Amino acid sequence: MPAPDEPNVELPTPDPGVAWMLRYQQGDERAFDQLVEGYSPRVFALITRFVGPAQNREDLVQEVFLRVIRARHDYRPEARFSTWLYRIVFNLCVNENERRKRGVSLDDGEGEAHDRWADERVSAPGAELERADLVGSVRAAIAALPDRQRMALVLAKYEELAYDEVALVLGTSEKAVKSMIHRARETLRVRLSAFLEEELA
Amino acid sequence: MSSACESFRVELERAVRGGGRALARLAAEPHARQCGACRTALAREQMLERALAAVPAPAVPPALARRVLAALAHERLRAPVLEEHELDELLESVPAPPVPPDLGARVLAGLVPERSARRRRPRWAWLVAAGLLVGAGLWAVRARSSAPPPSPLVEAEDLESDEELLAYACERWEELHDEDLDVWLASIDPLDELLLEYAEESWPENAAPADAAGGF
Ligand SMILES: [Zn+2]
Repeated sequence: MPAPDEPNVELPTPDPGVAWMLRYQQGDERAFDQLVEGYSPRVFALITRFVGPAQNREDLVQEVFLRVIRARHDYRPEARFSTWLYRIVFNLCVNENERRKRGVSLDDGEGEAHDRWADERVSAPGAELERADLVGSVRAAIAALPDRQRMALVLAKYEELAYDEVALVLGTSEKAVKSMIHRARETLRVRLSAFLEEELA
Repeated sequence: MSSACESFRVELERAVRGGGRALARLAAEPHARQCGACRTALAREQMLERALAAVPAPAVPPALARRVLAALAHERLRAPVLEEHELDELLESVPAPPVPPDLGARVLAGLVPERSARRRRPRWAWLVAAGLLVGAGLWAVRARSSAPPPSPLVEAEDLESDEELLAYACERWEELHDEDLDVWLASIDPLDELLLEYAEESWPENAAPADAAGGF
């Protein structure tokens, strides 16, 4: 869902991120503005899908772009810009999850992941209630996947990354990604079996 | 599972990557219509796809980019991180500071009192120094006639430690003028002077250092 106030940045082909990042590397500060304007909504969405509707998601987006600033001299245009950026997001999200497990998150610490989705849930009267229930269950099932399986699934499914790109983000092989996604889907099928069998019947 | 089923499952695996549309295309395959097991497998994947697709994209808060940029403004205002070669160039561009003339001489002159002050050292060093003093003194007196050509005298300040000073004094006793001797003695630690006195007392009468010095 695009936000009304979000600048409507046209992403020219083939990969604007690479061009912006290279210009930023050369000292063009305006190119960094374009990177943030162009990619922060996607980074926010990816973080939300991975860590849930945590209060500190915006801080995490800031942290991602802070790392872009600090790593700008190390950037090499070897793949789509988003793969490089998502690798930063993934590492940050895994750290965030670790912090939460240790109970030292910057987040408000309210309840489990699915509970925190409550405020994101669309108010759904009548027939929509069932769909809202399904959405909540899918989110919870995804949230319960192991980190790497979850990120692999989210990137392939929602960010439409090819398996070889997912492999770059996770720092693994395409074969491993295929296996991770296969296992993730198996798990989801089991966890969502109540809904799926109902539909199948 | 038949080979037709196996190849269909391979296609199914591939279609999963392509999402809902690819799965829908596969549903139109003849094998999907003929084989119940494969049709069910396909239907399960399609249902999972629909379930995943039912999750809406997360709502992005308004003006997110603007706030992120504002929050990072401080970080961006920082001086850019220099490359290694840039840092080297900068460091090399700093000129050497001017050195006042005769600095070395003045520093040495200023250090004379400090260098002649008593320094702590282990007890054995005194024994070594005393032994050296006595032995070298005796050697100097006895070898007076056959001494090798003397090397140039050094200034008392040039010797690092009192041990060196004592050793040198003993070695070059004969060559030291009265005036030099005063300087040398003034450079020696008070305890060293005690040692000298002790050595003097224990020296044979005719070979006392004072005599040797007075022989110049
Ligand atoms: Zn079959």
